[in-house]
This record gives sequence, structure tokens and C-alpha cells, in this order.
Amino acid sequence: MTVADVIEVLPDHVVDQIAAGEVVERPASVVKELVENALDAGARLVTIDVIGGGRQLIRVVDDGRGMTPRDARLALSRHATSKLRSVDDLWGIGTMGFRGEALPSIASVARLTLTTRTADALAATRIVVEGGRVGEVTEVGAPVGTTIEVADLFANVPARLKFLKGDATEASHVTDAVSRLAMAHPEIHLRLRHAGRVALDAPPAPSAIERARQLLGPRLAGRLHPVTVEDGGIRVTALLAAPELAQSTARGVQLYVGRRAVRDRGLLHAVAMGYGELVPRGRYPVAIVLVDVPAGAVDVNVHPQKLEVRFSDAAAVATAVRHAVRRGVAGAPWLAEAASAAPVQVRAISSMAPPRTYSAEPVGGYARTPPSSQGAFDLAPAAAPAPSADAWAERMRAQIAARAQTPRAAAMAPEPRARALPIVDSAPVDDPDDGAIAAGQGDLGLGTGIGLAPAPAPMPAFFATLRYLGQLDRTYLVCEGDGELVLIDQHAAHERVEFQRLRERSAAHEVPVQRLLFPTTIEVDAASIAIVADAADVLAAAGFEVEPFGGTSVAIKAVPAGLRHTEPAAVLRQLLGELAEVDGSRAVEAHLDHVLATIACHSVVRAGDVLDGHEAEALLRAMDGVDFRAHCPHGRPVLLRLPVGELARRFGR
Amino acid sequence: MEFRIPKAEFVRGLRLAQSIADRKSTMPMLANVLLRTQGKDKLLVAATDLNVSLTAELKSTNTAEGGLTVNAKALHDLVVSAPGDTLTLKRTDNHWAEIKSGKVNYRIVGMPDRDFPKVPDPREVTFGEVDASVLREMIDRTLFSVCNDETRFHLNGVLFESSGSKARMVSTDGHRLSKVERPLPGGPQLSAGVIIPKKGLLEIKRVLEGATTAKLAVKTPHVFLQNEELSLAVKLIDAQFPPYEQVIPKDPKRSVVIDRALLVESLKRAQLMSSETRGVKLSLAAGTLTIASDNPDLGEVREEIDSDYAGDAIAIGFNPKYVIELLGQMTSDQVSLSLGGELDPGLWRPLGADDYVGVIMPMRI
Ligand SMILES: Nc1ncnc2c1ncn2[C@@H]1O[C@H](COP(=O)(O)OP(=O)(O)OP(=O)(O)O)[C@@H](O)[C@H]1O
Ligand SMILES: [Mg+2]
Repeated sequence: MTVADVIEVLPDHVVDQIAAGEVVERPASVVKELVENALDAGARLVTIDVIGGGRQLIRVVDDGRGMTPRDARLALSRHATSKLRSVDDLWGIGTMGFRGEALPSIASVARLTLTTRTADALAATRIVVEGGRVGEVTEVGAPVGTTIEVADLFANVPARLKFLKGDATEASHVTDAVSRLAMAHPEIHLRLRHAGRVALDAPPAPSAIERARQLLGPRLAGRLHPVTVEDGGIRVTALLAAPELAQSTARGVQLYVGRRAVRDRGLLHAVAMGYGELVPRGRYPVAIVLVDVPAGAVDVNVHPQKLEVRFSDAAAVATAVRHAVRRGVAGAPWLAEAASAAPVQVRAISSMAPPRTYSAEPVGGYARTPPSSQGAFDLAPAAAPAPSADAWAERMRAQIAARAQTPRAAAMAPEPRARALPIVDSAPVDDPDDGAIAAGQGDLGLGTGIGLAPAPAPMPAFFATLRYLGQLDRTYLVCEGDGELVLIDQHAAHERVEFQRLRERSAAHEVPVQRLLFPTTIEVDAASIAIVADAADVLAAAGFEVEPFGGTSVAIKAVPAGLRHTEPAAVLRQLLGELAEVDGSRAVEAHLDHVLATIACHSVVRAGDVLDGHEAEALLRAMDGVDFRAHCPHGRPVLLRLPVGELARRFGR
Repeated sequence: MEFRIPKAEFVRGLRLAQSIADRKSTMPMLANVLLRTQGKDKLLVAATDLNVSLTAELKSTNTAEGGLTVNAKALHDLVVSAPGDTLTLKRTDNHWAEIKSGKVNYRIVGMPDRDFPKVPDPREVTFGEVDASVLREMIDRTLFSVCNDETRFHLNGVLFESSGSKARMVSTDGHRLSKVERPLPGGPQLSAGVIIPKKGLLEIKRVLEGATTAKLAVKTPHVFLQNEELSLAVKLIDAQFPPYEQVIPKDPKRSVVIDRALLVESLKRAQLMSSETRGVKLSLAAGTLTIASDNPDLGEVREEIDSDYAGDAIAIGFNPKYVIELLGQMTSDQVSLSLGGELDPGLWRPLGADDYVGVIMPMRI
């Protein structure tokens, strides 16, 4: 196969249609144009080296298809392009470039060296252009692809030079530009070095949210909620940050249209509208919004640096963006978190003292309020006396004492427990096949394992004595206790049960672990890499087998088998971020508890999960096995109690 | 627009259309089915959720041309319950559909057909005719191990490779993998594999119901399937499937042949005793395979099966669900399990001529 020449000079009537203006404003614009060319050339890996903020040197190396010697020469003349042939092509152009302006514009204000080789050429072509004068063409050895070096930018244009800021500022503009290109092209590996130091390394990412993680780090990306909505051919992917991160400028809003970073007041407004009341007027949310419209519905030939676009139906696009953001905001986890911190619930929490009385130290945020306000709901005209926390504490103490005397009936018990779960006796009988084989087989373990196990005597237990009434809002278990209404947060309750179980298993080196077929590699920040090295044991004890994988990559080889709701990689990222934040000298146990708590949180039922009566009752029973003195995983309260007397009072009885 | 159509014919098209129409979409139009007359004697019925699109060309008698969209579920339910053997449907002012069947007259609200999204046109692709049962079998044998985690969209479907004479389907959720190969003459000649999403495969299976042959084509970004008057276009997942060959063990050290039914029953018993997150342990020693599991909340179970194993002793943990699902797709009486070490993937194969393998990563328990 031979690589044909593809570049042609545009005829004048096409040139006349192209948005004219200054292509190169600062080093970042050079980088943007060169990287876009690399992307258009089908590169998978683009490496960018910048020295002196780009003023001294910019080098962009790609592994794209390269150019023939004839094309390499032609590429440097104005309006020579392989991407556009006629005016009609302008709408719905699929490439980043289309004008044939970038290379000659850059070459006219710097010393540009172009080295390029196609797959079937034996040698590369090198051309040096200085101040717009094309020098001689030489043959050199180089890999397939294109390298462009731009040195001494604006050296011959003092007026331009005056407008540049300090090297560090220009460097940060370059980083911004590359980061935006990376966001818009997650499948491409982009690497940026400033004076040899890696400023950004973004290997191919499977999705926008993964890309955002690479670029923003797990901390901020962890706060981004992704949503994708496609409507009338307009596809909007938005990564939305919690409203409390809102800023006074619009800098936190990144807009992309058809893989180009753009500025667009209409869309910016639409994003803000999508957040509605959550972000006050005059402030802007932090959000990344990627919009794709059908070919032909957007004109990219508007702005000389392609920073703006024009839609054939701007209102439709704005509406789509607003809807997508609104929908994302409605489903975002941070909204639920915010709601749970709302005043009504905070007050309700103060009546949840019981389990709390067991924590050794007062827990910040839920410090016990004076008795007069305990148990107060918002609607209460006057505060009623709370259910006596002390009495409850008394009862719990008694129970725990009683339990200490019976052999501990938890996971570490040497004898299998015969507690609960009807499945034990009914299942084999229910299934005739099982029964038949079991009978023929003689020495099956079913009888020996379970039937003969000694059943521990039933213990007096608070939760097991509750009568389960039903589920409220798929979030709370509603129960009747002794003269009181008891509401239990299903997630918080299950989380504690699971946390304790994990702790016990981890102590016995029995955390179940699922190994992975394909090690998943994730990109993290440098601090997290250090954690992977330092805390590998802790992570392994919790079920994560991880290894540094060179640079800022981590390979995950095995994950805790219990993780149900969240992608293990996401949990690991969260953990690494959090472990990096806590004081490094903290005891390993504290780390392990934290890791286990996080895994527990992602392994159990959530608000919104429907529980049937059996499940709810099993959970209640399991809660009696939970040692509430133990470090509690996330510090959220588990239950709320409302005495019948209080109800009577409210009903005016 | 006005047409007359036999009820049975209409139901055939609407049944699939209403399962594809997307009621939950923010785009209300997607809950609708498109009805459009074609010439004098054909009715085009189309539904789409933008990823899976159905078009059906039904036989009808058209008296006035035109198009209309109406809620797919409502129309389907109404037609199913209509008393007569034929129905006439007529568009009246403001996009109402007036339907007559026997002595019953219905009126339901519609929306103009020009707002209906454009669906891929099967008339623009070249089909090849394939054996429907082979296709169905290949789908069944891989669908169950597709990854349901939406964040890993490259695993949310089955990889389909086809040479025109042979075809291969592979799926993995990162913990296990299944791969099946079959002769599939008439299949598309693909230079690279394509990933067909799970939802699309489920619809393909429906369209294949009762068919002996079907027409198949891949024209990126869609795979097309046609069974008589029904055509389906499924948008492919545009992503890179992982290098699956690398994880299929080449020549594992240890190997044992086991009675499939016996093993499945035994695993089911063990599964009862393993909590959702705990695996079962398979221990191989000369002449026996022991299957055991325990759950701190419940108890434990151990079961021994005779085997032909002659190697050194090894114990390995698996998620029983993975093994049961895989073995459920095998048909041979005997299966072989090949192992490296206790942390290496287990390779499961039916004994016999069946070109099917499953790879399951072990659990450490
Ligand atoms: N990195 C590269 N690899 C391969 N070909 C390239 C590369 N950079 C430029 N070219 C070729 O040189 C031509 C001119 O590039 P240039 O950037 O000047 O114009 P353009 O990309 O076509 O349009 P625009 O000026 O809008 O960016 C391109 O059309 C392309 O054919
Ligand atoms: Mg260009």
C-alpha cells in the first residue's frame, strides 16, 4: 500500500468563506493547533514538550499517519489542507482542522521544524521554516508520525511578545489547553511535560468520567456526578459537581461541542439554569458538559481560534443541555447528602442518642442537645421530653453484658450458627432434584453441617423484639417497639452490620476476594501512588490486591467480593484519596477500619432499595449482633425513636 | 391516512414495537410507534429507543396515504383486545387516530410522524442468510456473562467476530469469560469484531423466535437482523473489547473431568450455604473432588464427588453462580476443568465436539 498525497490548496471562493483572524495568540494556541493536527492525523499517543512556557520551545510528537514529502511542503503554505474541499464541507466537518491555516501561521512567527514520515516511506522528511521562509528539505531517520518543533515563538513579532505573560502563566495556559483537548478526546493518550517535568499524563480512558478523574484527580472527580441524555439527536454528557463548589466566575464550567472546547454564553446559561435554585444567581457551578449534535447542525467556522461555534438551532441545544443538567442534578448523590443535612433531620438526629451513648468520645456534629430540645420535630409547637436515652442505654448495657456471658455468636464463633434464615430447612426440600440426589448420595454434608449444630439460646435483644411494620420511602424501616415508634435507616444499619462482619473476617484473614481476568489499571495522583506502596498490606487485608504499575498507574488484580453497588476501581480511588489525606502516622488499624468502612458502605443495601419483610427482619436480627461501641463506620445515626406518648401529645390526646 | 389491516398481522408488528419503545425516555416521542403507509398495500411500523430500532413492513390495504405516531403500549393493548379480525385506522384532525374493529370505535391521541427520529433503513444494507438456531444458541451461551456495570461500557455487550463461514461470540464481565465458535455460513465478513449491546441481543432473540433462518448484516454503526417482515437495527458499542485470547489459559497443569449434572447439583447445594459474597471451595485430590462452602451466619456443607483426577492436591475458590451459569449453557454429560495454580483462572470446557469455553477467575476465600 502506498500513501498518496492528500493535501490541496483551497480555491479562493472557499478561502473567502473561512473565518479570518489571528490564529496564534500565545503559546497555548500553538499547542492547541498542533495537537489538533495530530488528532486529525489519527494519532493515538501525542507527546508535548514545552520549555519556557512555550516561548522557547514547543515540541509535539505524534504517532499519526504522517505526510508524504510533497504534502509536507504543501502543508506549510496557506490554505493548503487535506480536510476540506468545498464550501459545503464546512457544515458538519468531522476533523478539528479545516482551513489549512495553522501551520503557515505558526511558521510565520517562529522557527518551525517539521519532521514527518508515512508508514511506507523509508525515511522521514524534514523541513525547517524560519520567519515564513521555507528552507531546504532533507531526509532523516524518524519513526512513523509527525514531530513539529516550534522555537523562539514571536521572536520576530515584538508587539506580540509584549502581550505574553510570565513563563509560568503561559505554561499554565498550555496545561489548560492540553487538559481540555484531553477531556474532549478521552480515547487518546496525551502527555505534557514542562521543562521535562510531567504536567499531565492521560492514557486512554473508557469514559468521560474516567478522563475527568485523570485530569482533576480523584478528589474533585469523586464529587462529579455523570449523566448522559440524548434527545432529538442532541447528546449531552455532563459531569456535575455539587452546588457548594460553585464559584463566582464561570471558569469552572467547561463546555465542549463536538469534541471542541468552546465558549458559549447560551450554553453557560443553560448549565446554570439546570442547577436551578441550587446555585444562587451570580454564581456558577463547576461542571463539564460535552455536547454532540448531528452533523450539519453546527457551524465551527466562526472564530479564528475555533473557540466558538454557531448552532443551526441554538435554542434546542440549550434546552437539551438544561434538561440534561437538571436531570443529572436531580439524581446526584450529593443532593441526597445535602438533604440529609437539612435542619429537620438534624434535629431528629438529636433524639437518636441511644447508640451514641456508647461511643467513647462525643461525636462531632451530633453532640447531644440539651434535653429540652430532644426529639423535637419541626412541627412540634413545644419540645416534648425525649425518650430517655439513659434508660435505653441502661437496657443496651444489660444486653451487652448478657451477651458477654454467652459464647459470642458472631462470625468468629467456632461453631456454625443455626440462627434464622428459613432457607436452611426449606430449600433442599423445595427442590426435588436436590432432594433426590441428596438421598442417593449418602454422605452429603447437609445434615451434618446444619441440622446438628447446637443452636445458641435466644438472647434478649432490642432489635429482634421490634415488630416490623414496613418500609418508608424505600429508605427507612418502620417498626413498633415497646411503646414507641422506631425508624431505622436501612443503609446505615446494614452498613454497621457489614462493617463489623468485615472486621471480623479481616482479623481472621477471611475477607472474600474476587480475582480479575484483566487487571484493571487506573490513573491516580502521586500521593495515591505512595499510599499504594505504603498501605498495600492494609488494602490486601480488605481484599484489594493492587500494585504500582509505573508512573501514576495502579494495577488492580483482585477486589473485595462483597462490593455490590460501586465499581471497585471507584471505591479504590476514593480510598486512596482519603488515605492520602489522613495523617500518615496513624495506626494501621485506623486505616484498615477506614478501608473496611468504605467497603461496607458500598456493599450493603441503599436508600431506595426495596426490602421485603424477611430481609428487613433478618437485618433487625443481625443488628443485635452489632457492637455499637465499635468505631462506627461513617458516623451516621441509625435509628430514630418516637414514644407513643409523644404521638398522643401531638394528636392533642 | 387510512388503512385496513388484519388484527393478527398488526399484533405481530406491535408486540415487538412496544417492547422496544422507550417509555422512560425524556423524549416522549420514543414511547410512540410510527405508522406510515407505503404504497397501496404495505404499512411501515417502527419503534426505537435510539439504540435498538425495529421496522416492520406489514401487509395492509391503504386507502389514504400518510403517517402518524401513537403510544406503542396503548395501541398494542388496544389492538390485542379489539373484537374483530380486521381493523381500520384513520388519522383525523390534530393527529387523532380513529380505530374501528367490529362494532367498536376507538380514538387515541397521536403525534405527527415528522417528529419521529430517523431509524436506520434496512433496505440500504446487504443481508446474508444464516441459521437462526445457531445464532440463538451463540447468544444464549455468551449473554449471561456480559458485564452489567454501565461504567464499563466496552464490556456491556458481546463481541461478535464473523468470517462469512465461521463466527465467534465472546463476553466477559471482568470476572469470567465465555467464548463460543460455530460455523455460520452466510454471516457477515468482518475485518474486526463488533460489540453488540446486551439489550440489543435480547431483542434479537425475540425477533429470532420461531425462525429457522434469519438475515444478518453488519454495517457500522449497526448490526441488522431480519426475520421475514421484521427488521431490527442495533447500535453497536463503539469501544475496544479487551484482548480476550490472552486470558484463556493455554495449557494448564491440572485437569479433571467431572459429571456435569452432578457438579451443578452439588454447586447449587453449596450455593445455598454460601452468602452472596462468599465462594465455594473445590478441592481436588487423587480420585475425588470435594465441594465445600460455609457461611458464618448459617453453617457449612461438604460434598465429595468421584473424579478421574490424578494430579497433586489443590483447592480453589469460585463464585458458585458463575460456575452454575456456565455449566447451564453446556450440554455434554461431562465437562473438564483445567487449572494452573489456586489463583489462576479456571478453564471449563464441555467434553466433545462443542467449541465452547468458559474462563472463571477464582476467589480467595
Ligand atoms: N501532525 C500531522 N500529521 C499529519 N498531517 C498533518 C499534521 N499536521 C498537519 N498535517 C497536514 O497538513 C495540513 C495543514 O495543516 P494545518 O494545521 O495548517 O491546516 P488544517 O489542519 O488543515 O486546518 P486548520 O488550519 O484549520 O487547523 C493538514 O490538512 C494535514 O493534511
Ligand atoms: Mg490544523
